[in-house]
Amino acid sequence: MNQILATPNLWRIYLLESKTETLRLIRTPGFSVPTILFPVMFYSFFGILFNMNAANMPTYLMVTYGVFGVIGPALFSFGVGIAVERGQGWFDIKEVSPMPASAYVFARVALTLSFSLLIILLLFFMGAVFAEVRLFHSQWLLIALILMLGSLPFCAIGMTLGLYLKSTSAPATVNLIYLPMGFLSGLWFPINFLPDFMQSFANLLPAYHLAQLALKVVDMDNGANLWLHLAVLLAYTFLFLLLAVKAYYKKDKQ
Amino acid sequence: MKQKIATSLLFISVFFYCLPQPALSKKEDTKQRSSTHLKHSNSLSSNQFIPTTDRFAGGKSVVTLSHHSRDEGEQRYLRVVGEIKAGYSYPWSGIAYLPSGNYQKGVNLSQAHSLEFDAKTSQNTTTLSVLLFEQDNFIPFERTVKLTVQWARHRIKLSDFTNIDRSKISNISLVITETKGNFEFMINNITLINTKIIDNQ
Repeated sequence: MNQILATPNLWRIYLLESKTETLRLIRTPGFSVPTILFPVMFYSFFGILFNMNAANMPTYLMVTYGVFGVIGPALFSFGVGIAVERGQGWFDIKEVSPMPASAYVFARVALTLSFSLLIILLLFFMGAVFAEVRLFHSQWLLIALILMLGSLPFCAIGMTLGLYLKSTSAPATVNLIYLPMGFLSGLWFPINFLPDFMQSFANLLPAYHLAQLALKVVDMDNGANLWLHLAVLLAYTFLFLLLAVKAYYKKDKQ
Repeated sequence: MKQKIATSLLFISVFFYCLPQPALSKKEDTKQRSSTHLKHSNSLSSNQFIPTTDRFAGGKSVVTLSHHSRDEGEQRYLRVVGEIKAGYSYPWSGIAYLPSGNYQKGVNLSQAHSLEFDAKTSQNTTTLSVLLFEQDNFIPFERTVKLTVQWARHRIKLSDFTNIDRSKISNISLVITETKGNFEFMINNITLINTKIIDNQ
């Protein structure tokens, strides 16, 4: 009796939910394979095979494809994942279960960070072995840390999308945001190659600011203030968290 | 579970430890040129070099060139002073030689064996990038040399530039690219060895 009434270990719930979420997505190759392989494949093409021997191009693209890579799991695991679970009714079942709602969010954040880390390690391996990228240990670590923490604003964006979108339209809508944002933020090739008006537009995109933040580590950013990039990313996080909370309570009332 | 997390963390730590670092004290090849090479050299006057910076591509770096006497003698060297400023993804600042006199037009340097020059810097060490541009391609091919505070002869073998068509070279630039901030280097006796320049029609 005492055992039943004992306070549950919150961390254990968080860890178990994270483990089952990770297992579920590993067993869904439709999600895990493209999410991990797309950035690595693009980097192999544009950063290694067709970099035209350009100075510093492999380093620049390793960082920007890293940004592209970590945004993917954040947007898809939250955006598409939540929308699909809502469509299937899983979201409601989990809501009425004794599991705290925070465990659901924690598990998805942990999942996003795990996938992000895997993508970063693969890109670093490709850059170091095949493109002769040479950085100090502090730079490798700092880039990895920035990219992983930088995926959090995109978790917030994904969560909002997942709560607003229907399961049928979510994959297409998320792709419609993910791919153009990557292109316009200079993640596929240097932003300076784009026309001026597109470069100005990039200032509004969170992916651009995350890329600039990471490029600062290798001195390849466009020179804007560090705090500006941080402020934009924080503003996006708070705005989309607010929208997510609003969408969640609106759904509850319905 | 804890064991799995610990193993993963250990793997990640080992991975990061094994990632390669830049070579800080790479010995550059500063061999003196052979007498055979001297017979077929094409010395470039420092007046043939023009300033080049990333302002060309929308950046903010600056450079100024001036001529000075070397060792109190008649021989004059080119002093290149500038600043690499943030503002472009690949910042650069330095000097450029346009073999055809035109950014758009390449010349045939396929007979050129190497580019040689005397150079030094006022800072402890400075990495100088030698960039070769192919006609109609704005992305350069790069090799680097380390400059020290003493005059030293540097040789860049043009055959080391792989994947470039040396029959249409439009620009040879000697620039600083890596570190933001002020720089200064001095350069003299720039020579293309074993060269026949053929106009690309």
